[in-house]
Amino acid sequence: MPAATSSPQKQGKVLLVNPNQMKPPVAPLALDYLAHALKANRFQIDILDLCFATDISHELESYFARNQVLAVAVSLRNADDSSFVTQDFCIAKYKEVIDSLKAQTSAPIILGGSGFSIMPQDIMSYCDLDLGIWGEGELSLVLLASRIAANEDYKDVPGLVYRSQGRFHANPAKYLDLSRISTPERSAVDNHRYFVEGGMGCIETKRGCPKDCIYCVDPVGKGKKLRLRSPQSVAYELKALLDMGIDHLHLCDSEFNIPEQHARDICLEIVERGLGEKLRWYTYASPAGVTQELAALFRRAGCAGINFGVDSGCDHMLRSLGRDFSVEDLSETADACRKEGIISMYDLLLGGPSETKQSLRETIETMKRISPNRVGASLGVRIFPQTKREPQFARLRLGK
Amino acid sequence: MHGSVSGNDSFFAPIYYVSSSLGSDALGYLAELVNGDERFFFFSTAAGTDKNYNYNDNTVLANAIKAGYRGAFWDILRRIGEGS
Repeated sequence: MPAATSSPQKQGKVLLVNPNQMKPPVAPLALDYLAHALKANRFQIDILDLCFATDISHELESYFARNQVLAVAVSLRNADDSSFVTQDFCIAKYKEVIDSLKAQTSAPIILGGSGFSIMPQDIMSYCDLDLGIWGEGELSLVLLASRIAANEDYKDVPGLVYRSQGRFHANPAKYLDLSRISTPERSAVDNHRYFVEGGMGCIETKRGCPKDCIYCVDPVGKGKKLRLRSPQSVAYELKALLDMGIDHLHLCDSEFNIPEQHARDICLEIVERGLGEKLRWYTYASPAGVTQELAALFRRAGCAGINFGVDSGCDHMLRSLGRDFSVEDLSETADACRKEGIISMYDLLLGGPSETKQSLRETIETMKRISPNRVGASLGVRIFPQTKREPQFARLRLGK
Repeated sequence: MHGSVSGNDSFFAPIYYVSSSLGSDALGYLAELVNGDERFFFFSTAAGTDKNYNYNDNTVLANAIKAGYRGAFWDILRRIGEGS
Protein backbone atom coordinates (compact mmCIF):
# COMPACT_ATOMS: atom_id res chain seq x y z
CA MET A 1 0.00 0.00 0.00
CA PRO A 2 1.25 3.50 -0.65
CA ALA A 3 2.16 5.39 2.52
CA ALA A 4 -0.07 8.40 3.07
CA THR A 5 2.39 10.30 5.26
CA SER A 6 6.02 9.98 6.29
CA SER A 7 5.36 10.17 10.04
CA PRO A 8 6.35 7.07 12.03
CA GLN A 9 3.77 7.97 14.72
CA LYS A 10 0.45 6.23 15.02
CA GLN A 11 -2.09 8.35 13.23
CA GLY A 12 -5.11 7.62 15.41
CA LYS A 13 -7.84 5.05 15.51
CA VAL A 14 -10.33 4.41 12.73
CA LEU A 15 -13.43 2.42 13.55
CA LEU A 16 -14.72 0.21 10.73
CA VAL A 17 -18.39 -0.72 11.03
CA ASN A 18 -20.35 -3.49 9.33
CA PRO A 19 -24.09 -2.75 9.75
CA ASN A 20 -25.23 -5.69 7.61
CA GLN A 21 -27.30 -8.24 9.55
CA MET A 22 -28.41 -10.49 6.69
CA LYS A 23 -28.41 -14.20 7.48
CA PRO A 24 -26.78 -16.44 6.49
CA PRO A 25 -23.94 -14.02 7.11
CA VAL A 26 -21.39 -13.14 4.43
CA ALA A 27 -17.99 -11.97 5.66
CA PRO A 28 -17.39 -8.23 5.08
CA LEU A 29 -14.38 -8.72 2.82
CA ALA A 30 -14.04 -4.98 2.23
CA LEU A 31 -13.42 -4.35 5.94
CA ASP A 32 -10.58 -6.88 6.00
CA TYR A 33 -8.98 -5.20 3.00
CA LEU A 34 -9.52 -1.70 4.44
CA ALA A 35 -8.09 -2.74 7.80
CA HIS A 36 -4.98 -4.03 6.05
CA ALA A 37 -4.50 -0.74 4.18
CA LEU A 38 -5.06 1.39 7.29
CA LYS A 39 -2.69 -0.67 9.45
CA ALA A 40 -0.02 -0.50 6.73
CA ASN A 41 -0.31 3.29 7.04
CA ARG A 42 0.09 3.28 10.84
CA PHE A 43 -3.52 3.71 11.82
CA GLN A 44 -4.97 1.76 14.69
CA ILE A 45 -8.18 0.08 13.68
CA ASP A 46 -11.14 -1.43 15.45
CA ILE A 47 -13.89 -3.37 13.75
CA LEU A 48 -17.43 -3.19 15.06
CA ASP A 49 -19.11 -6.04 13.25
CA LEU A 50 -22.82 -5.73 13.99
CA CYS A 51 -23.79 -8.75 11.92
CA PHE A 52 -24.10 -10.93 15.00
CA ALA A 53 -25.19 -8.20 17.43
CA THR A 54 -28.47 -8.72 19.27
CA ASP A 55 -28.62 -5.19 20.69
CA ILE A 56 -26.94 -2.72 18.35
CA SER A 57 -27.50 0.35 20.52
CA HIS A 58 -25.91 -1.40 23.49
CA GLU A 59 -22.93 -2.52 21.38
CA LEU A 60 -22.32 1.03 20.19
CA GLU A 61 -22.79 2.56 23.63
CA SER A 62 -20.42 0.03 25.15
CA TYR A 63 -17.77 0.62 22.47
CA PHE A 64 -17.81 4.41 22.66
CA ALA A 65 -17.77 4.36 26.47
CA ARG A 66 -14.28 2.83 26.17
CA ASN A 67 -12.90 4.34 22.98
CA GLN A 68 -12.26 7.59 21.22
CA VAL A 69 -11.83 7.47 17.47
CA LEU A 70 -10.51 9.69 14.74
CA ALA A 71 -13.17 8.64 12.25
CA VAL A 72 -15.87 6.03 11.69
CA ALA A 73 -16.10 4.25 8.32
CA VAL A 74 -19.33 2.38 7.60
CA SER A 75 -19.41 -0.15 4.77
CA LEU A 76 -22.76 -0.54 3.01
CA ARG A 77 -22.64 -3.71 0.94
CA ASN A 78 -26.21 -3.98 -0.31
CA ALA A 79 -28.59 -1.17 -1.20
CA ASP A 80 -31.45 -3.67 -1.24
CA ASP A 81 -31.92 -7.38 -1.84
CA SER A 82 -32.67 -6.90 -5.57
CA SER A 83 -35.72 -9.13 -5.21
CA PHE A 84 -38.84 -8.12 -7.11
CA VAL A 85 -40.90 -10.13 -4.62
CA THR A 86 -39.52 -8.95 -1.26
CA GLN A 87 -38.03 -5.53 -2.18
CA ASP A 88 -36.12 -5.35 1.10
CA PHE A 89 -34.62 -1.84 1.34
CA CYS A 90 -31.38 -2.34 3.30
CA ILE A 91 -30.51 1.35 3.42
CA ALA A 92 -33.37 1.97 5.85
CA LYS A 93 -31.82 -0.56 8.27
CA TYR A 94 -28.36 0.95 7.83
CA LYS A 95 -29.79 4.39 8.65
CA GLU A 96 -30.92 3.14 12.06
CA VAL A 97 -27.33 2.09 12.80
CA ILE A 98 -25.99 5.39 11.50
CA ASP A 99 -28.42 7.35 13.67
CA SER A 100 -27.21 5.39 16.69
CA LEU A 101 -23.59 6.11 15.73
CA LYS A 102 -24.37 9.82 15.50
CA ALA A 103 -25.79 9.70 19.01
CA GLN A 104 -22.58 8.16 20.35
CA THR A 105 -19.76 10.04 18.64
CA SER A 106 -18.88 13.39 17.15
CA ALA A 107 -16.14 11.82 14.99
CA PRO A 108 -16.69 12.13 11.24
CA ILE A 109 -18.79 9.28 9.84
CA ILE A 110 -17.68 8.19 6.36
CA LEU A 111 -19.88 5.96 4.21
CA GLY A 112 -18.55 3.57 1.59
CA GLY A 113 -18.98 0.11 0.10
CA SER A 114 -20.40 -1.39 -3.05
CA GLY A 115 -24.02 -0.61 -2.17
CA PHE A 116 -23.13 2.97 -1.30
CA SER A 117 -21.18 3.48 -4.53
CA ILE A 118 -24.27 2.93 -6.68
CA MET A 119 -26.00 6.08 -5.42
CA PRO A 120 -23.76 7.92 -2.96
CA GLN A 121 -25.45 11.31 -2.90
CA ASP A 122 -28.93 9.87 -2.39
CA ILE A 123 -27.73 7.68 0.47
CA MET A 124 -25.82 10.54 2.13
CA SER A 125 -28.85 12.77 1.84
CA TYR A 126 -31.14 10.06 3.26
CA CYS A 127 -28.74 9.42 6.16
CA ASP A 128 -28.00 13.14 6.59
CA LEU A 129 -24.24 12.69 6.34
CA ASP A 130 -21.61 14.80 4.62
CA LEU A 131 -18.77 12.38 3.82
CA GLY A 132 -18.48 9.25 1.70
CA ILE A 133 -16.12 7.41 -0.59
CA TRP A 134 -17.43 5.83 -3.77
CA GLY A 135 -15.44 3.08 -5.44
CA GLU A 136 -12.79 1.24 -3.49
CA GLY A 137 -11.57 2.61 -0.19
CA GLU A 138 -8.05 1.32 0.40
CA LEU A 139 -6.38 4.38 -1.04
CA SER A 140 -9.06 7.02 -0.51
CA LEU A 141 -9.98 6.17 3.09
CA VAL A 142 -6.32 6.10 4.13
CA LEU A 143 -5.74 9.50 2.54
CA LEU A 144 -8.94 11.00 3.97
CA ALA A 145 -8.17 9.72 7.48
CA SER A 146 -4.62 11.10 7.22
CA ARG A 147 -5.94 14.52 6.27
CA ILE A 148 -8.48 14.43 9.11
CA ALA A 149 -5.71 13.42 11.55
CA ALA A 150 -3.50 16.29 10.37
CA ASN A 151 -6.45 18.70 10.35
CA GLU A 152 -5.78 19.39 6.67
CA ASP A 153 -8.18 20.08 3.83
CA TYR A 154 -9.38 16.86 2.24
CA LYS A 155 -11.62 18.03 -0.57
CA ASP A 156 -9.26 16.74 -3.27
CA VAL A 157 -9.19 13.13 -2.00
CA PRO A 158 -9.95 10.79 -4.94
CA GLY A 159 -13.38 9.17 -4.76
CA LEU A 160 -14.51 11.54 -2.01
CA VAL A 161 -18.18 12.53 -1.99
CA TYR A 162 -18.85 15.49 0.24
CA ARG A 163 -21.48 18.09 0.91
CA SER A 164 -20.51 21.72 0.87
CA GLN A 165 -22.91 24.65 1.11
CA GLY A 166 -25.85 22.30 0.68
CA ARG A 167 -24.56 20.70 -2.53
CA PHE A 168 -22.92 17.34 -3.10
CA HIS A 169 -19.61 17.02 -4.91
CA ALA A 170 -18.07 13.74 -6.08
CA ASN A 171 -14.38 13.51 -6.96
CA PRO A 172 -13.26 11.04 -9.63
CA ALA A 173 -12.13 7.73 -8.15
CA LYS A 174 -8.53 6.59 -8.35
CA TYR A 175 -8.26 2.85 -8.76
CA LEU A 176 -5.53 0.78 -7.16
CA ASP A 177 -3.00 -1.20 -9.13
CA LEU A 178 -3.91 -4.53 -7.54
CA SER A 179 -0.83 -6.26 -8.94
CA ARG A 180 1.29 -4.19 -6.54
CA ILE A 181 -0.63 -4.41 -3.26
CA SER A 182 0.70 -6.50 -0.40
CA THR A 183 -1.27 -9.60 0.50
CA PRO A 184 -4.07 -8.81 2.96
CA GLU A 185 -3.69 -10.60 6.30
CA ARG A 186 -7.42 -11.35 6.65
CA SER A 187 -7.08 -11.14 10.42
CA ALA A 188 -9.31 -8.14 11.21
CA VAL A 189 -12.67 -9.80 10.58
CA ASP A 190 -13.72 -12.95 12.44
CA ASN A 191 -13.58 -15.02 9.27
CA HIS A 192 -13.82 -18.32 11.09
CA ARG A 193 -17.15 -17.36 12.64
CA TYR A 194 -18.45 -16.29 9.24
CA PHE A 195 -17.34 -19.65 7.88
CA VAL A 196 -19.10 -21.59 10.64
CA GLU A 197 -22.33 -19.56 10.41
CA GLY A 198 -22.17 -18.60 6.73
CA GLY A 199 -20.80 -21.78 5.22
CA MET A 200 -17.95 -20.29 3.19
CA GLY A 201 -15.19 -17.71 3.09
CA CYS A 202 -14.51 -15.21 0.35
CA ILE A 203 -11.66 -13.69 -1.63
CA GLU A 204 -11.11 -11.45 -4.65
CA THR A 205 -8.68 -12.19 -7.47
CA LYS A 206 -9.36 -8.97 -9.40
CA ARG A 207 -11.65 -5.95 -9.66
CA GLY A 208 -13.45 -4.24 -12.51
CA CYS A 209 -15.60 -5.50 -15.36
CA PRO A 210 -15.40 -4.40 -19.01
CA LYS A 211 -18.83 -5.79 -19.97
CA ASP A 212 -21.89 -3.74 -20.96
CA CYS A 213 -24.77 -5.59 -19.30
CA ILE A 214 -27.55 -3.01 -19.18
CA TYR A 215 -28.59 -3.55 -15.56
CA CYS A 216 -25.30 -4.19 -13.76
CA VAL A 217 -23.79 -1.95 -11.08
CA ASP A 218 -20.44 -3.72 -10.76
CA PRO A 219 -18.61 -1.41 -13.21
CA VAL A 220 -20.07 1.61 -11.37
CA GLY A 221 -18.18 0.93 -8.15
CA LYS A 222 -15.21 -1.09 -9.41
CA GLY A 223 -14.57 0.51 -12.77
CA LYS A 224 -14.63 -0.97 -16.27
CA LYS A 225 -10.92 -1.62 -16.44
CA LEU A 226 -9.84 -5.05 -15.23
CA ARG A 227 -7.25 -4.85 -12.46
CA LEU A 228 -5.65 -8.17 -11.67
CA ARG A 229 -4.02 -9.44 -8.50
CA SER A 230 -0.91 -11.55 -8.83
CA PRO A 231 -1.60 -15.31 -8.61
CA GLN A 232 1.09 -15.57 -5.94
CA SER A 233 -0.67 -13.03 -3.72
CA VAL A 234 -4.03 -14.76 -4.18
CA ALA A 235 -2.46 -18.11 -3.28
CA TYR A 236 -0.88 -16.65 -0.11
CA GLU A 237 -4.27 -15.33 0.93
CA LEU A 238 -5.96 -18.66 0.19
CA LYS A 239 -3.34 -20.39 2.34
CA ALA A 240 -3.98 -17.91 5.17
CA LEU A 241 -7.70 -18.70 5.02
CA LEU A 242 -7.00 -22.45 4.92
CA ASP A 243 -4.86 -22.05 8.03
CA MET A 244 -7.95 -20.58 9.74
CA GLY A 245 -9.85 -23.75 8.81
CA ILE A 246 -11.72 -22.09 5.96
CA ASP A 247 -11.71 -24.60 3.13
CA HIS A 248 -14.92 -23.63 1.29
CA LEU A 249 -14.71 -20.30 -0.50
CA HIS A 250 -16.44 -18.03 -2.93
CA LEU A 251 -14.30 -16.09 -5.41
CA CYS A 252 -16.06 -12.74 -5.50
CA ASP A 253 -14.90 -11.54 -8.92
CA SER A 254 -17.65 -10.32 -11.25
CA GLU A 255 -16.75 -13.15 -13.63
CA PHE A 256 -13.74 -15.29 -12.74
CA ASN A 257 -12.89 -16.32 -16.32
CA ILE A 258 -12.68 -12.74 -17.63
CA PRO A 259 -9.89 -12.56 -18.64
CA GLU A 260 -9.41 -16.27 -19.16
CA GLN A 261 -5.61 -16.20 -18.91
CA HIS A 262 -5.75 -14.69 -15.41
CA ALA A 263 -8.16 -17.42 -14.30
CA ARG A 264 -5.77 -20.00 -15.73
CA ASP A 265 -2.80 -18.39 -13.95
CA ILE A 266 -4.65 -18.38 -10.62
CA CYS A 267 -5.62 -22.03 -11.01
CA LEU A 268 -2.11 -23.08 -12.02
CA GLU A 269 -0.68 -21.32 -8.96
CA ILE A 270 -3.19 -23.08 -6.70
CA VAL A 271 -2.32 -26.45 -8.25
CA GLU A 272 1.41 -25.73 -8.08
CA ARG A 273 1.15 -25.09 -4.33
CA GLY A 274 -0.89 -28.22 -3.71
CA LEU A 275 -3.92 -26.23 -2.51
CA GLY A 276 -6.39 -27.59 -5.05
CA GLU A 277 -7.02 -30.79 -3.11
CA LYS A 278 -7.61 -28.89 0.13
CA LEU A 279 -10.00 -26.25 -1.19
CA ARG A 280 -13.52 -26.34 -2.55
CA TRP A 281 -14.36 -23.04 -4.20
CA TYR A 282 -17.24 -21.56 -6.11
CA THR A 283 -17.36 -18.55 -8.35
CA TYR A 284 -19.33 -16.46 -10.83
CA ALA A 285 -18.23 -16.88 -14.44
CA SER A 286 -19.14 -16.01 -17.99
CA PRO A 287 -20.70 -18.92 -19.90
CA ALA A 288 -18.67 -18.04 -22.99
CA GLY A 289 -15.51 -20.01 -23.76
CA VAL A 290 -15.67 -22.60 -20.98
CA THR A 291 -14.17 -25.61 -22.72
CA GLN A 292 -13.80 -29.03 -21.17
CA GLU A 293 -10.05 -28.40 -20.89
CA LEU A 294 -10.63 -25.16 -18.95
CA ALA A 295 -13.24 -26.82 -16.73
CA ALA A 296 -10.72 -29.59 -16.00
CA LEU A 297 -8.15 -27.01 -14.88
CA PHE A 298 -10.74 -25.33 -12.63
CA ARG A 299 -11.55 -28.71 -11.16
CA ARG A 300 -7.89 -29.52 -10.45
CA ALA A 301 -7.61 -26.18 -8.64
CA GLY A 302 -10.52 -27.07 -6.34
CA CYS A 303 -13.52 -25.64 -8.17
CA ALA A 304 -16.70 -27.29 -6.90
CA GLY A 305 -19.32 -25.22 -8.68
CA ILE A 306 -19.90 -22.22 -10.89
CA ASN A 307 -22.78 -19.76 -10.95
CA PHE A 308 -23.16 -18.51 -14.50
CA GLY A 309 -25.11 -15.27 -14.89
CA VAL A 310 -26.70 -16.34 -18.16
CA ASP A 311 -29.82 -14.14 -17.82
CA SER A 312 -31.77 -15.73 -20.69
CA GLY A 313 -31.98 -18.74 -22.96
CA CYS A 314 -33.14 -16.71 -25.93
CA ASP A 315 -30.65 -15.03 -28.27
CA HIS A 316 -32.65 -11.87 -28.89
CA MET A 317 -33.06 -11.34 -25.12
CA LEU A 318 -29.32 -11.84 -24.56
CA ARG A 319 -28.68 -9.04 -27.04
CA SER A 320 -31.34 -6.87 -25.41
CA LEU A 321 -29.63 -7.28 -22.03
CA GLY A 322 -26.22 -6.41 -23.46
CA ARG A 323 -24.75 -9.89 -23.16
CA ASP A 324 -21.97 -11.01 -25.47
CA PHE A 325 -22.63 -14.75 -25.71
CA SER A 326 -25.23 -16.97 -27.35
CA VAL A 327 -27.50 -19.87 -26.43
CA GLU A 328 -24.99 -22.17 -28.15
CA ASP A 329 -22.34 -21.07 -25.62
CA LEU A 330 -24.71 -21.97 -22.77
CA SER A 331 -25.07 -25.48 -24.09
CA GLU A 332 -21.33 -26.06 -24.58
CA THR A 333 -20.51 -24.71 -21.12
CA ALA A 334 -23.08 -26.91 -19.39
CA ASP A 335 -21.63 -29.93 -21.21
CA ALA A 336 -18.04 -29.04 -20.25
CA CYS A 337 -18.98 -28.65 -16.57
CA ARG A 338 -20.98 -31.86 -16.54
CA LYS A 339 -18.10 -33.86 -18.04
CA GLU A 340 -15.65 -32.50 -15.47
CA GLY A 341 -17.92 -32.87 -12.45
CA ILE A 342 -18.33 -29.14 -11.79
CA ILE A 343 -21.80 -28.31 -10.50
CA SER A 344 -23.38 -25.56 -12.59
CA MET A 345 -26.02 -23.01 -11.71
CA TYR A 346 -27.56 -20.87 -14.46
CA ASP A 347 -28.97 -17.60 -13.17
CA LEU A 348 -31.80 -16.07 -15.19
CA LEU A 349 -32.88 -12.44 -15.16
CA LEU A 350 -36.37 -12.52 -16.64
CA GLY A 351 -38.84 -9.86 -17.67
CA GLY A 352 -36.38 -7.29 -19.01
CA PRO A 353 -36.83 -5.00 -21.99
CA SER A 354 -38.22 -6.88 -25.04
CA GLU A 355 -39.22 -9.94 -22.99
CA THR A 356 -42.39 -11.58 -24.29
CA LYS A 357 -44.33 -14.67 -23.30
CA GLN A 358 -42.71 -16.40 -26.27
CA SER A 359 -39.13 -15.47 -25.27
CA LEU A 360 -39.83 -16.51 -21.68
CA ARG A 361 -41.16 -19.86 -22.88
CA GLU A 362 -38.11 -20.28 -25.12
CA THR A 363 -35.77 -19.55 -22.18
CA ILE A 364 -37.37 -22.08 -19.86
CA GLU A 365 -37.44 -24.73 -22.60
CA THR A 366 -33.76 -24.01 -23.35
CA MET A 367 -32.83 -24.44 -19.69
CA LYS A 368 -34.70 -27.74 -19.46
CA ARG A 369 -32.92 -28.97 -22.60
CA ILE A 370 -29.42 -27.78 -21.64
CA SER A 371 -29.98 -29.02 -18.11
CA PRO A 372 -27.44 -27.33 -15.85
CA ASN A 373 -27.62 -28.73 -12.31
CA ARG A 374 -29.75 -25.82 -11.15
CA VAL A 375 -31.49 -22.79 -12.67
CA GLY A 376 -32.26 -19.64 -10.72
CA ALA A 377 -35.36 -17.96 -12.12
CA SER A 378 -35.48 -14.32 -11.03
CA LEU A 379 -38.20 -12.12 -12.47
CA GLY A 380 -37.95 -8.31 -12.61
CA VAL A 381 -34.96 -6.08 -13.31
CA ARG A 382 -33.97 -3.75 -10.46
CA ILE A 383 -33.31 -0.37 -12.03
CA PHE A 384 -30.24 1.19 -10.49
CA PRO A 385 -28.88 4.66 -11.11
CA GLN A 386 -25.76 4.98 -13.26
CA THR A 387 -26.42 1.72 -15.13
CA LYS A 388 -26.33 1.65 -18.89
CA ARG A 389 -30.10 1.67 -19.45
CA GLU A 390 -31.10 3.98 -16.59
CA PRO A 391 -32.03 6.83 -18.95
CA GLN A 392 -34.22 4.48 -20.99
CA PHE A 393 -36.01 3.26 -17.87
CA ALA A 394 -36.52 6.86 -16.75
CA ARG A 395 -38.24 7.66 -20.04
CA LEU A 396 -40.36 4.51 -19.78
CA ARG A 397 -41.59 5.56 -16.36
CA LEU A 398 -42.61 8.92 -17.70
CA GLY A 399 -44.48 7.19 -20.53
CA LYS A 400 -42.24 8.66 -23.24
CA MET B 1 -42.60 -0.46 -13.33
CA HIS B 2 -43.14 -2.01 -9.91
CA GLY B 3 -42.15 -1.01 -6.38
CA SER B 4 -41.44 2.60 -5.42
CA VAL B 5 -42.69 4.12 -8.63
CA SER B 6 -43.76 7.56 -7.43
CA GLY B 7 -41.49 10.14 -5.79
CA ASN B 8 -38.44 8.06 -6.59
CA ASP B 9 -36.96 9.89 -9.57
CA SER B 10 -33.40 8.74 -8.92
CA PHE B 11 -34.38 5.04 -8.49
CA PHE B 12 -33.09 5.23 -4.91
CA ALA B 13 -35.77 2.99 -3.38
CA PRO B 14 -36.36 -0.46 -4.93
CA ILE B 15 -38.03 -0.19 -8.33
CA TYR B 16 -38.31 -2.96 -10.89
CA TYR B 17 -39.00 -3.27 -14.57
CA VAL B 18 -41.10 -6.18 -15.81
CA SER B 19 -41.99 -6.23 -19.48
CA SER B 20 -45.69 -5.45 -19.90
CA SER B 21 -45.83 -8.13 -22.63
CA LEU B 22 -45.81 -10.74 -19.85
CA GLY B 23 -49.24 -9.61 -18.63
CA SER B 24 -50.43 -8.98 -15.10
CA ASP B 25 -49.39 -12.34 -13.63
CA ALA B 26 -45.85 -12.83 -14.90
CA LEU B 27 -44.85 -14.87 -11.84
CA GLY B 28 -47.80 -17.21 -12.38
CA TYR B 29 -46.90 -17.62 -16.04
CA LEU B 30 -43.29 -18.41 -15.11
CA ALA B 31 -44.42 -21.04 -12.58
CA GLU B 32 -46.66 -22.57 -15.25
CA LEU B 33 -43.71 -22.84 -17.66
CA VAL B 34 -41.39 -24.36 -15.06
CA ASN B 35 -44.17 -26.79 -14.13
CA GLY B 36 -42.63 -28.07 -10.93
CA ASP B 37 -39.24 -28.95 -12.44
CA GLU B 38 -37.05 -29.66 -9.42
CA ARG B 39 -33.99 -28.03 -11.01
CA PHE B 40 -35.46 -24.54 -10.78
CA PHE B 41 -35.06 -22.09 -7.88
CA PHE B 42 -37.15 -18.94 -7.46
CA PHE B 43 -36.57 -15.62 -5.80
CA SER B 44 -39.49 -16.22 -3.45
CA THR B 45 -40.98 -18.85 -1.18
CA ALA B 46 -44.00 -19.38 -3.45
CA ALA B 47 -42.68 -22.74 -4.73
CA GLY B 48 -41.54 -23.85 -1.25
CA THR B 49 -38.88 -22.60 1.13
CA ASP B 50 -36.27 -25.05 -0.20
CA LYS B 51 -36.76 -23.54 -3.68
CA ASN B 52 -36.20 -19.97 -2.49
CA TYR B 53 -32.76 -18.75 -3.49
CA ASN B 54 -33.15 -15.24 -2.11
CA TYR B 55 -30.33 -15.46 0.43
CA ASN B 56 -31.65 -12.56 2.50
CA ASP B 57 -32.72 -13.97 5.88
CA ASN B 58 -33.06 -17.46 4.44
CA THR B 59 -33.70 -19.69 7.45
CA VAL B 60 -33.54 -22.94 5.45
CA LEU B 61 -29.98 -22.07 4.48
CA ALA B 62 -29.00 -20.76 7.90
CA ASN B 63 -30.24 -23.97 9.54
CA ALA B 64 -28.48 -26.16 6.97
CA ILE B 65 -25.18 -24.38 7.61
CA LYS B 66 -25.67 -24.82 11.36
CA ALA B 67 -26.13 -28.52 10.65
CA GLY B 68 -22.77 -28.61 8.87
CA TYR B 69 -23.44 -27.84 5.22
CA ARG B 70 -20.69 -25.81 3.53
CA GLY B 71 -20.32 -24.14 0.15
CA ALA B 72 -22.22 -21.77 -2.12
CA PHE B 73 -25.74 -21.09 -0.95
CA TRP B 74 -27.30 -22.36 -4.18
CA ASP B 75 -25.29 -25.58 -3.97
CA ILE B 76 -26.36 -26.12 -0.36
CA LEU B 77 -29.98 -25.75 -1.48
CA ARG B 78 -29.32 -28.23 -4.30
CA ARG B 79 -27.90 -30.78 -1.88
CA ILE B 80 -30.80 -30.30 0.52
CA GLY B 81 -33.19 -30.92 -2.38
CA GLU B 82 -31.34 -34.08 -3.36
CA GLY B 83 -31.11 -35.26 0.25
CA SER B 84 -27.32 -35.47 -0.03
